[in-house]
Amino acid sequence: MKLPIEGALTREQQETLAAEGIDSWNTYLRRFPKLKDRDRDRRLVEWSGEGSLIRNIYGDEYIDCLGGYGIFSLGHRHPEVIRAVKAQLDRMPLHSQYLVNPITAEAGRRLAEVAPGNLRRTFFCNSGTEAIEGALKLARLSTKKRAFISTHNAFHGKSLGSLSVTGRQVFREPFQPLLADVTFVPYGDAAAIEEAVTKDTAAVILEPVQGEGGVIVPPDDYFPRVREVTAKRGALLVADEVQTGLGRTGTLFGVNHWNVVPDILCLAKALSGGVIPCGSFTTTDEIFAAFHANPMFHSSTFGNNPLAATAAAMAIEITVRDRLPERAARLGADLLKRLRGLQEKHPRAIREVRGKGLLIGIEMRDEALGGALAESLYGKRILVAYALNKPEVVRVEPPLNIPEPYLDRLVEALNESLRILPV
Amino acid sequence: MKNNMKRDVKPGGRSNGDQVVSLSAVRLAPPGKSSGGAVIKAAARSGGSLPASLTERRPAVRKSLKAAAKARARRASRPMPVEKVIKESQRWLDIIARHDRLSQAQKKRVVKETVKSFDAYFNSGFLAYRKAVAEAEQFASIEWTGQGTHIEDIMGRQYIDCLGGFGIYSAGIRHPKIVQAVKAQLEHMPLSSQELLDPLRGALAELLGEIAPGNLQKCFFINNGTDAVEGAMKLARLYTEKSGFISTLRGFHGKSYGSLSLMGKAEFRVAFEPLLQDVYFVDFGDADEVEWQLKKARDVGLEIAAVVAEPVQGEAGAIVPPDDYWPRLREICDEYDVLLIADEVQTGMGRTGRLFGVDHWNVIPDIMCLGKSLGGGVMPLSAFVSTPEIWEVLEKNPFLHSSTFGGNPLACAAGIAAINVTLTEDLPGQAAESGEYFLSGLREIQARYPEQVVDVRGKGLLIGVEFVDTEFGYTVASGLFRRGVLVAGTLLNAKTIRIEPALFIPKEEIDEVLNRLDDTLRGLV
Repeated sequence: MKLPIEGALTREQQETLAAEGIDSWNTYLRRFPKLKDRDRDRRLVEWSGEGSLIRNIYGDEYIDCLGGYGIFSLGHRHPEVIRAVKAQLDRMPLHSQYLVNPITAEAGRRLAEVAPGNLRRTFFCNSGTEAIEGALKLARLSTKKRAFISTHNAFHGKSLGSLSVTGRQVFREPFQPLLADVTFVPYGDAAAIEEAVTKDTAAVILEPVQGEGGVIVPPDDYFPRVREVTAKRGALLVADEVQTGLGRTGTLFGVNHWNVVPDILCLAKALSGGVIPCGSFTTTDEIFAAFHANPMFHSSTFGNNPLAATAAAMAIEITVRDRLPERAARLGADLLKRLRGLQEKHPRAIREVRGKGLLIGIEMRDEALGGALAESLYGKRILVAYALNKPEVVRVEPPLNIPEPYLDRLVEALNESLRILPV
Repeated sequence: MKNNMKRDVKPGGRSNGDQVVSLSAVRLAPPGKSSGGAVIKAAARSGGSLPASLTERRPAVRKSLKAAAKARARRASRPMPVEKVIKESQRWLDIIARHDRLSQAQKKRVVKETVKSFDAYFNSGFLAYRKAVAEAEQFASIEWTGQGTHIEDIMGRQYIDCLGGFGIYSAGIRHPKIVQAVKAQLEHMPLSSQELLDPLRGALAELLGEIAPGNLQKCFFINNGTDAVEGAMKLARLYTEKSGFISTLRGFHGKSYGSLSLMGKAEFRVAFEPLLQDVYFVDFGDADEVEWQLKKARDVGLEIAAVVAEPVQGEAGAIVPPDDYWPRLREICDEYDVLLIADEVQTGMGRTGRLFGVDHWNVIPDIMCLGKSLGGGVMPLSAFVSTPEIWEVLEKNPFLHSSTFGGNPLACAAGIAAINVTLTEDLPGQAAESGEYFLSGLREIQARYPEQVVDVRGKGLLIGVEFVDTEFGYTVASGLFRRGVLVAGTLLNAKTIRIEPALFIPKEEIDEVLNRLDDTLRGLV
């Protein structure tokens, strides 16, 4: 198929692109098992995005309350990010890997400025799972210990290292044996971690709010207590902020809710500015020193590329400047209240509503109800998602700068949908 | 933990009385000294070698955890410097916007700040490692722009790029057609909604299905080579329901935990052990060894999912296997019922003079991994490709393997353009021809300096020049840098420098590089 580079599409082009898009997906990628209806399928082909709206190839608009599972904290195609990325494209998208690239250095500096406590050494990569892989390697290297503690229903990624600390059997089982030396404890239970830590524990890895696990908010003393235990026992605390980082939960980083400074902080998703894939792990000078001995101990061809660094630098800047974490806190609190109102009205459909900032989960009574709700909202041109590790939870994760009327529309659509759900 | 951390992050800052920001309030600790004595010891224990430059650096003692906690608390009580970040970032935005109209003073400032930021916020080890800093006279070489086979630093110095970003620039730097496609896609939808269908992923998959060897047709797109190998390993385990792998000595497949487990050199493994357990290593280029390993495994009941190898070993120093190696691997894998995985991350997309490395021997692997140049040198992009039959196991539950950023529309636009450019400009054909020319020129040089140049080898434009020792190799690379040519050692074999220019490098430039190499060597002997 010829790439549509410029100009508006004709109706015929729209039809062709839609049909070929579906066919190619089914032939060359993974088939979409559930979808049969071709006309319906065609409407599914996305074409452009702007702010909190996504348009399919026919120009139908959808309100994006899924936010690409957390990528689109700045919305789609934030003009400032796009402008900066374009300028970098005109100069040097990827790097020589030889000369020193100044853009990535600047992104590292900015991240250090805003990161909690004394975290200030960063390795940039291209995705969340890579950030976790790097953090695990660094934890072993710097502590000279080998064991990890993770939590039930934790989601840290799907490459073989991060998968080893992912706490869901369905993703792990077909790929065993993974890394040994990983212990799983219930999330939110600091005493369980205290019990599980041994002198061989290199790191405890935790999400500030479990995202894929169904938006689980831990008790307020959880992170401070785990911080205390790990510091006392000489284990590192790795905060997986891939989903919670950069304002999502109402503070710039999830751990900021409890004023905890982890030893390694992993970011991705929103760090992309919604434009260029980017991940990172950030740590202290002392811990990172283990990597200085041989910079080739951990390296990546595409890691630290200037195009991604441009997007990351812009994402940090815009998030801080526009006070998006505050906005997420305010809109999130208000949305939670309204959703709890819906829960009271529909107790047989909704079991619980929970969240922090604009990372919100609506737990339905069962998986089928979750699916039906998401489907019904899709019909009303609103995108939401299931949580990967807990499909009965419908996840709401809109851009942090979403216009408020769209959230009103979401509540209204939810109310309409809940009324007709078969409970 | 003592809670004197009043750093409640409120990005607005001013809404909270104690968050008035002043630049002088920002106090960063001095850049950490390099450390990692343990690492060096570990590498030494394993018999692994460390780069020569390392042995000179004195590792500092790691601070105790208590000191680390104190430092943490100190920095935590510091208010976030909101205004500083905004002001600084605005200054950078101005620099980016005026990238081609910077004054001399501005350029010098960028150089200074870059080196400082690398040192303080990134990996200072790289500064010593990179000849761009170590060997540049007055100003470190800060890369700024590039086009085709050339890179220009911020002071306007020109370099011929024979390193090719470790193999990503097969289509050169900023190929206009690829940049144009990416720019246009930025106007629509850079990353996918993850809910609706993104058409470019389908389109690229179709193109790749068309050009991939044999019945390799189904793809999964991700961001880099190591992820492609991770995915291939998972697919192999899922499909075969077995867990073991056979890899090669000095094989390089990446540095995340799965791909690192296949790494054929101790130096990169030891400090991160224990890795995946059931990986067995054989010599590269020796098919009998693979057969012997598989036979042993079968006799004692070890289960092997796949044999993984590079068509030409890249990081080991451009090692070309015997011509019957890959055909025999295919036969042996069939006989023992294990999958054959070709890691074409570096060799794919024309680098060795054929579209894929395995095409030299007409071998169709079961899974093929691509990366590096797949994104056209503009976007990170990688893939693993397999047959519909094997793929079936992934389709039952599409979430068994997925990625947030993988296959994003921006990368796919770059990939589509890269395939288009590779075929319209016949990059594989050009690589084959220029490779011969380059190799014969290098062999002439070898004949003139037989004591210093131990071997010249390669396929297409994946070329290795092996010197008598690591030290000498580094000196040659430095000499070439001063003469405006970028080359670098291979990761697992520092005696060998790699030559991996854009596949369309003109003959005159090859001559120029050969001249400068000859000049460098003449000055050294």
